[in-house]
Amino acid sequence: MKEYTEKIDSISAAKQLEIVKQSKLDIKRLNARNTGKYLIMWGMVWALGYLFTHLYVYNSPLEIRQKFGNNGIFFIWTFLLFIAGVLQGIMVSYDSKNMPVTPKKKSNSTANTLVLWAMVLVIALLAVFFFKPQSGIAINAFMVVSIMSIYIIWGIQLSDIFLLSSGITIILTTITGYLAIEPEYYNIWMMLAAGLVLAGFGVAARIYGGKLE
Amino acid sequence: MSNINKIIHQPARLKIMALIASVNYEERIDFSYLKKSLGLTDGNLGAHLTKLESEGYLHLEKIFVNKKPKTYVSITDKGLEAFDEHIAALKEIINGK
Repeated sequence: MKEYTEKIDSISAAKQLEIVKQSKLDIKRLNARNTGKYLIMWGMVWALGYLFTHLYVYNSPLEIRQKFGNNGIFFIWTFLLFIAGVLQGIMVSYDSKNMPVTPKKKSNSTANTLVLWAMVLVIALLAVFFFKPQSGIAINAFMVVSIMSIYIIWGIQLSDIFLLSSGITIILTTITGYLAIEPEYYNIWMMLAAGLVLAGFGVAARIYGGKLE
Repeated sequence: MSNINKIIHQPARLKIMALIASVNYEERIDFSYLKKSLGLTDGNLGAHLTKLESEGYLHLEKIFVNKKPKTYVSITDKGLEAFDEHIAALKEIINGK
């Protein structure tokens, strides 16, 4: 073995290390492309959801608005957001079985996803019960912050800069939207600063994933 | 001083080991992804994987997913140790130790 070592010069050693570095980047790129796909999908769902909420709240016939109220439509949208999150979680865990990189042991990823979302719902309901938010916007903002907190946890767990950054950014934009934006523009703000920003992080993940150390 | 590993030193095998060592220890890589990523034929990749498996560096697992046969490859403790030692040896050569 020692004799073999002596035949390798520093140039071929450097080439070997370059192959290793490139391979690591390939795996990072593969993971980032996968994350990016879901961020884009989820971001577009949010953007459309906020757009429809805005259009409904300010453009629907008066009798419908009187029936449900502005808060009512926010409750519905927040509930739909929750359902969409659960469905996406199930889709991700199902899709992960066909991914190039999969867990060695059979994991209960679908069950874990459902438990995680159930926890979000329980926390949100407890917050509503204790803090008694006065508007649909407050509930919606709280829900988005809760969901984005999960992204931060996932980002740290998976060392994924895109999940982590999107979580932090959208928490900040949501708080800004809640505190500083006029209520009538909240949905438009969230369409851009949450939905499209999330999709933007997805695009960035697909383009730059594996290139960023 | 670390030793260069003759088995891992071969470029295709080095890349196989590097790819598999880059995923989490609890994860495995699909044969098809390795084939596409390395640009090798089934036979060529299979031969390299068999060699690495016979050394105890990799574990090959053949299972059915949606009624289709799939081969997954994962790294063993011995493989991870050998790979780390190989990398350390390469760094020592570059640093002139």
